[in-house]
Amino acid sequence: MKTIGLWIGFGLLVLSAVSLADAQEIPGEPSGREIAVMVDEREDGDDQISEAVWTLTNSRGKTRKRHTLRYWKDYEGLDGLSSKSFIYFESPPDVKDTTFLNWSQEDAEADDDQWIYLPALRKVRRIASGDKENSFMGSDMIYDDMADREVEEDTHKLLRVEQDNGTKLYVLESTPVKENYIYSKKLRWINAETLTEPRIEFYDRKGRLLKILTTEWEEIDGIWNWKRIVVENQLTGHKTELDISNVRFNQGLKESIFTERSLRKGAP
Amino acid sequence: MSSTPLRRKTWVFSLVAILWIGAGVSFAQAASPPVLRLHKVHLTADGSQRQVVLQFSQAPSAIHAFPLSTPTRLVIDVIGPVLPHPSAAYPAKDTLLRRVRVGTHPQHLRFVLDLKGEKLPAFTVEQQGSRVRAVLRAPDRPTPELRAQILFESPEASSFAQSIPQPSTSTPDSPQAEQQAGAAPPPAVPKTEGASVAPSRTAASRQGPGRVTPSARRPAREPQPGLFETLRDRLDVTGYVKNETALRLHSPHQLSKSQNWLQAEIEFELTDWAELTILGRSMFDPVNHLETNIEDFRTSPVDRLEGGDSFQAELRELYLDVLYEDFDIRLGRQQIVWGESIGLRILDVINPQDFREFILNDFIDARIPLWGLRVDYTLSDWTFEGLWLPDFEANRPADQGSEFQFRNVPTQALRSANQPEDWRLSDSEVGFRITRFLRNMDLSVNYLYSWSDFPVPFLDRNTFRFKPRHERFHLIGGSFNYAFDVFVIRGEGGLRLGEHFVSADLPKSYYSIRQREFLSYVLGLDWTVHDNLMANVQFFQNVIFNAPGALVGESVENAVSLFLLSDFINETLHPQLLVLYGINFGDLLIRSQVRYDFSDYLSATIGADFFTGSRSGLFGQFAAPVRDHDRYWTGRNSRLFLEVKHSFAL
Repeated sequence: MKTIGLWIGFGLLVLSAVSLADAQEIPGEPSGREIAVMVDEREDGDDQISEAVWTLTNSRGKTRKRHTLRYWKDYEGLDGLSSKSFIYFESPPDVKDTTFLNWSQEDAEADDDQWIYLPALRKVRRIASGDKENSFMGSDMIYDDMADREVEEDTHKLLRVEQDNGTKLYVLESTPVKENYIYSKKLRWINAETLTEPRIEFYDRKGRLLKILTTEWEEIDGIWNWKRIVVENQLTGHKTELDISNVRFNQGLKESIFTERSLRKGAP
Repeated sequence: MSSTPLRRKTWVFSLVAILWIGAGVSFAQAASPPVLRLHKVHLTADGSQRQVVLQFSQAPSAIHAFPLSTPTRLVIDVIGPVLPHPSAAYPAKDTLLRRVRVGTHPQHLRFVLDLKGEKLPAFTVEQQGSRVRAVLRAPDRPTPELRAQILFESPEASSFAQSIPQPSTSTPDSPQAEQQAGAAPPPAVPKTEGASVAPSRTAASRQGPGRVTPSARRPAREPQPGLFETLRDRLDVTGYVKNETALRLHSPHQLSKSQNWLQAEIEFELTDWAELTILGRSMFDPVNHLETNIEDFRTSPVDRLEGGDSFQAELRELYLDVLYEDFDIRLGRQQIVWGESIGLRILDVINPQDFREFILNDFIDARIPLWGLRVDYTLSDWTFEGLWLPDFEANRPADQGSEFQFRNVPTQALRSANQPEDWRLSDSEVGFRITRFLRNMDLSVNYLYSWSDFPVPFLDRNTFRFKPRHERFHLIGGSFNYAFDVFVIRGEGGLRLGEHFVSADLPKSYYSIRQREFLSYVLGLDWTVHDNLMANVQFFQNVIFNAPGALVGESVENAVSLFLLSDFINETLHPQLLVLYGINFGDLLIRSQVRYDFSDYLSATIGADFFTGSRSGLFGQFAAPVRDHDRYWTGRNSRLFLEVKHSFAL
């Protein structure tokens, strides 16, 4: 009985130590998890329309460009969905009228529903989404990067606080709970005021720095949104630049935009 | 027998399209009470600021503004009900604003402010009673002088002219105003009627003098947009030029084709809810071993022009798309594609097929488009599709003696088949499809009441001559797919009721046509092996139920396929392999190719098509050595090919 009491006491001691560490890694600053929750809860609108130019550059400097129009709608768990997005390819001519539809599942373990319409086949085809390590549109971002990642899927630790031209930045280390995840960890620089992330470093399974994502943000209608994203793969030298324009929030997008109809008809 | 000329069909559908548009516009006009009328469009340029005022007969219900890029625009929707305003473009003499365009939509007037430069300036748009005021601020594009312009003014607007906000007349020597207007002092000009009396609400005009250029004295009177401008705004032209050259691998080692293609697709946006698409192409082939018998074309009901036996120009598609709420309507000459399979067609049988190159060219090029009507209705995850095809065209087999003439089918004898009458209601083809998207799965149910695209070879027992004719059949089918992890299982099948088959026991002089039920289906699996590799395997089967004795052909036919698709080097190198294997006769078609994209517009593809196996098989017929009565190049048809393609967009 005495032994059990000792074990309980030891357990409580360990738990309180962990809680303390979780609650306040740096005195006077919120914990890593609290910051991650605040970032996750940052306002992102009910829906969004945006245009983008994707510039993909390989290590030899050869570039490819894609012009896209994107529609996105937040489902907030309705029908088990996190969000739906629809992408229309405007140019170049060989991919013009190609469309892509994604229904993102609320359950992080579940595969998204994805379809593509290829004008050369005139067919809508469902595609497998199980391998989230696949490149998104040939870019340096993978499908997993594009999906909503739940706070609980990582442990978050506030490493330090930095100043950049008078801007206070939290440097957060997010380590996946699940073993053998695509990344061994991410280092995230978070603007303490706007809760935007100007820089993310991704480390591969072997702990090597895999890619660096830098983002310029702009505030539109009170919502912070990507303006320009640059992802540089440190191992291959491949680079993706994404210039986003004409962003419109809360347009009241209709459900019919995210159906087979739009896949075949193109941009609404 | 019928052979409808191109011009007749085109005119009929052009007329129908015009009537559709006319009816739509008339309906829109009738449905819109004349309550909101545009009176005036006014521009004030002052330093780095531009103010565009839209004056209406009464206050709009609401406004909605958003920017667009490439080219840079600011769009302002003024919500009605509105009185239709003629589509027009009002040019502006300004360093920032190129012009203001206006168009009428069912529930609103749309104003597009075309801006110069690629950078969108900061802007605000606000409604002030019956006025809508847009203010743009572009420090990098200052105007050298204060300038006011009336871009449009309706006759009814004269009573409103005095109330348009204009640059202020106060403090003509204000230094701030000179600073705003630029370094050079603007010339003092007389105030003009309706252009300088009301106090402005802009910062510049609060501070600056009321200097107005003479242009304000000569307001532009509804300048009509030029044809070129209208076309540029509403037209989207894409296409390609391409050379396809093939070299025979077996004797004689000569080119079997050197086709030079020009294809152009024109999309013309008629309104927000209607678009016209025209797709035409022409081809010149100095080698031309894919066609040999030009005489056949005289009876071929294909909408194309022929010049000799090496040139053709063809209207591929011409259709009008109309979007009305949850309905999509496509009217005109078009391709309609059903099904899930790769490489062989099961449900994709609505359009007939051109077999001059067997199945080696892309289906999008091999399908023969048909005139018809397709209506889709979308309800949540459901799509209901209805088809009406009053047009009929048969499959087009390769010419007798050409490279890919069917070796096991007397195509020449079938050429003179009786065909259904075009545009006769009772001879129309109809179909419907219901599709549903589900979690991880899609389903469709299909029905088609159609004509056989190959004629049935009936035999006249008195003359012992073929009297082929096309016959009706019902097709009931469906398709599905199911995604899990990195796999997608696919399937499609179709049951043809009353399909015709030949039964011929020639030693007993027995020949007859029998009707049987015929099932054709495919099961397949997609596997995303790796980021850069997708694999697909399929199993095909054809089954004739209660097959007649002495059947010509197989009562059960089986085939399998393998398809691999990959890409490397920043998605510029695309290897691809398709293998089709006929199990009954052990014959094989192997299609391998590699495409390299030099740029987003220029690509080259090299590849090889191999035929092997028994002469009796679908693929093996092109692996067999030449027969005495065939032309010498109709022997073994394996080939190398090269394709160079340059895409364009105007």
